[in-house]
Amino acid sequence: MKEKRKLIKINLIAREVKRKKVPSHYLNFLPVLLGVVLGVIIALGMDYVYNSRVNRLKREVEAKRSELKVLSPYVKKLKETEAKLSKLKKMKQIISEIIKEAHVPLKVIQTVEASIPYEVWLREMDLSGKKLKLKGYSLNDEKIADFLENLSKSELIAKVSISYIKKVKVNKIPVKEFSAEVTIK
Amino acid sequence: MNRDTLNLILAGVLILLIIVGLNYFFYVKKKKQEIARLNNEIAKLDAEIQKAKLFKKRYFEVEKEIALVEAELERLKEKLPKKEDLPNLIRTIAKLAYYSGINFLSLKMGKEKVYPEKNYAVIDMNVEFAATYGQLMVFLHSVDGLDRLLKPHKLNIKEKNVSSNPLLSVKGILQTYRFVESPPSKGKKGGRRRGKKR
Repeated sequence: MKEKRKLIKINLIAREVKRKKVPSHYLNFLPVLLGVVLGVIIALGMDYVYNSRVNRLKREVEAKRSELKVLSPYVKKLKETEAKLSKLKKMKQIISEIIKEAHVPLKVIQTVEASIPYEVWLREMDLSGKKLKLKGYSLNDEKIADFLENLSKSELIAKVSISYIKKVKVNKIPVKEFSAEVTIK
Repeated sequence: MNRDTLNLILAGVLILLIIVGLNYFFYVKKKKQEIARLNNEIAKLDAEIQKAKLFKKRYFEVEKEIALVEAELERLKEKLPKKEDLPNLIRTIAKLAYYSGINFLSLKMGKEKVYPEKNYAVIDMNVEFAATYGQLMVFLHSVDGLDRLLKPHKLNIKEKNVSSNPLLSVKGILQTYRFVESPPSKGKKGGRRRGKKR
């Protein structure tokens, strides 16, 4: 039997390996592609920056709103407390005034007593509110004038006026009777 | 670099600018407006917070002031008791008169007049007594120094006789005060509605 043999052809001549060439039209669009990619990257970057800024501001607004929510009741509270304070102050003023006025009569009597010169004596004293009526005697007009002058010097007295001075006899002694009206401050 | 390449580069730059521009007009611009609005809101909120902080500060100041005024009022209220307590007052006046050496000819109690808006009530006491000037001054001094407020409202002092130490006839009105709480203000809430009777 004849053996069937296969023959292998071997080319021993060196040949140049041809590289596959990238088609030139792909490379041509590289700048455009780069433009697109860069454009998208820049746009996304800007979006990120602005988005984060907006989010930060939104958080800040929320924080401030909640702070305001905590503080806002004080506006109402202040109105109420101020009303209470003004009421209390008014109350205090009224009571202080009453207490202050209560000491006035004694002070007025003491002032009258301190203002009476020698040779003048009082017969009647009528104190009603801010008015004081005085009636008395003196040996002469000059002493009456001194008395009224002394009275008018007092810080308590606003005005002193004389109603009359007339000659009378007391226990057969000729004296001057006078009447004066005093306005208290 | 040939002309085609330059054109392509220019096209790339143009596309970049278009993408960035479109992004600016359709996204960034809106965000910028939102940022401006938020900044405005923050400025407004800041102003309101500052105002509210001032209110808070003032509130605590007013609270302190109220505490001071209340303490002072409490001190003043000792002169104006809440209770009428007239028997005790009469006892006190009688004691003062006794120690001053004067005898009351009459002592008439008037009706209490209440002034709720002024937070006090006043009772007039018509008094009539005879005393020397010295006795009268001792009595008035004692009245002036009382814990409870007793104010000589009207005084008519007349000489009864002419002497070096004349006896005086004294007529007058002594007023005593009582502290009255102001009535609660009429609010909308809590009031009973008046309806037609069915």
